[in-house]
Amino acid sequence: MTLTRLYTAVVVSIGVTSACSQPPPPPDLAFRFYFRLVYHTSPFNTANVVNVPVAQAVWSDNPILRYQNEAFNTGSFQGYGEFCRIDITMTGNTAALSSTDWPLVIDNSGNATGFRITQRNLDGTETNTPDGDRLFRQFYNPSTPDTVLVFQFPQLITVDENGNDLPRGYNGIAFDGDAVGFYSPFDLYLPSIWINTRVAQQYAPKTVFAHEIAHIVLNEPPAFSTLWGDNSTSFLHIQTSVGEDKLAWIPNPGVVGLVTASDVNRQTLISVDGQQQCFDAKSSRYVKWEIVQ
Amino acid sequence: MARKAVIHAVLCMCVVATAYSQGRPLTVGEVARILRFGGEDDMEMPEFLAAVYGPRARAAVEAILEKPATVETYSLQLSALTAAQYPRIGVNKDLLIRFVVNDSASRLPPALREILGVRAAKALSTQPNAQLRAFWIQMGSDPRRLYRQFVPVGLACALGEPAIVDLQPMSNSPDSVLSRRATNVVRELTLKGSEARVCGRTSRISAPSFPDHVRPEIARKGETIRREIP
Repeated sequence: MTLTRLYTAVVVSIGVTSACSQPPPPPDLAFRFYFRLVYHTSPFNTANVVNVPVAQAVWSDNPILRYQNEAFNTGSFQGYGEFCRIDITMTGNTAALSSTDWPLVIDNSGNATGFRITQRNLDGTETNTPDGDRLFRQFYNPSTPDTVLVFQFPQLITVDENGNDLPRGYNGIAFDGDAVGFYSPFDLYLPSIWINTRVAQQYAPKTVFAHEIAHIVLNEPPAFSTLWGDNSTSFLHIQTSVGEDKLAWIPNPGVVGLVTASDVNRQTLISVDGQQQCFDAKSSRYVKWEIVQ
Repeated sequence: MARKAVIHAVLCMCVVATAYSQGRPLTVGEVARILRFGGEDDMEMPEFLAAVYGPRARAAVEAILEKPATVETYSLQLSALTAAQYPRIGVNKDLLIRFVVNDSASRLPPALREILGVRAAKALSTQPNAQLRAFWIQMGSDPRRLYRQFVPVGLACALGEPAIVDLQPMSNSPDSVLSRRATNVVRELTLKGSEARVCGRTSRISAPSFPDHVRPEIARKGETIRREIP
């Protein structure tokens, strides 16, 4: 063995030893999630509620599993956790709906604001309306099946069992195409997001889009578990709070407050298996595995 | 005298037994926990509340609705108004009327005020209470379309078949919001009489006890709640 070979062997040996104690981190992989915005041109609609930069911040720049590593790996090195990064991409071909093509329901002030998205049946179930179905099918493109449509209206309406219009009070709603039997209108079983602008403006104008993404990309169990109980507060409303405005419940009756992304909240989140949720997200057929540089 | 005392004692025992079987009234905190379990503007947990707890929830639901409507109370009051559409809970009609009639006094933004007001009108339209006739007749000339739309069903639920007298002129009204719905309700009452579904999803006769069981889909969701709040 020459001196050069001996030197090389020592260097390699040291390298291997180092690698065993702390291997290089895994590739910086991220899910890439594509959306297309369809918005109504009503003057009562609000253009900036679908906030892509905040969604990007929530899902990519603020990965919960990165925090989990920081929280628990404070001592000796225990291995790298997997990141839960989701890269939000809004496609450029936004669609605009005019009042001529899609007239809206008149509200109590005489303004055209409402879109009938769902209807209640006599058995108590809620399904899609013909209007909602027609709109979804007009913009769904089979050649880009993994692009999720995001519809934005001033006021979403449910038609009750007697044919009356009930304006809905949620910020937005996501239909999870995978959750058959849970909430699966639009019988293509494809996901879609519907933003209820006039309510969202009051409560979550920056984060409602990020919140609704979670309903699609994460695996929602059929029964409400601890993780998703209380309007999914313990998971989504913490995950989507990055110092931005966010509606969330706090335990006192009748009180609505901002959730702070505190250590206590996040550790609660971790303790109820947030990591598994991220693993589940990877199996969603609506996200793409891509290496983000 | 002795006979009166016996009758009184038996009545008291009946009342106590009924109260015992129904259990204690729910607190505001418990009702809030149940309603919030379903998510933003969920419509299933209010049905769960009515089916499982019924009149035990009345005082708490009313306490929630008695608070001034603000941005902070909005979501819980919306759920409470959704629950109030079940006469089985027995929410006082005057509390509901306040959300419809006095909605301009609310400090809420107009869009949120309208959502609460319409939900209250929906709840009133499921009350089989003849005292509501005057309210619905007056509402028939209200300029606000989303309130006016409930008049035909509201009258039919309040009065039953006698409502036809008020509804027939409405079915010929130039107001399309009233005429179309009044025509449908008159047809329903004429064909089915007391079995007509005019109180939401049920007939006037069965409205006070509806729902008397929990739908399986909702039962699964409410399983944890039932364990926590028997």
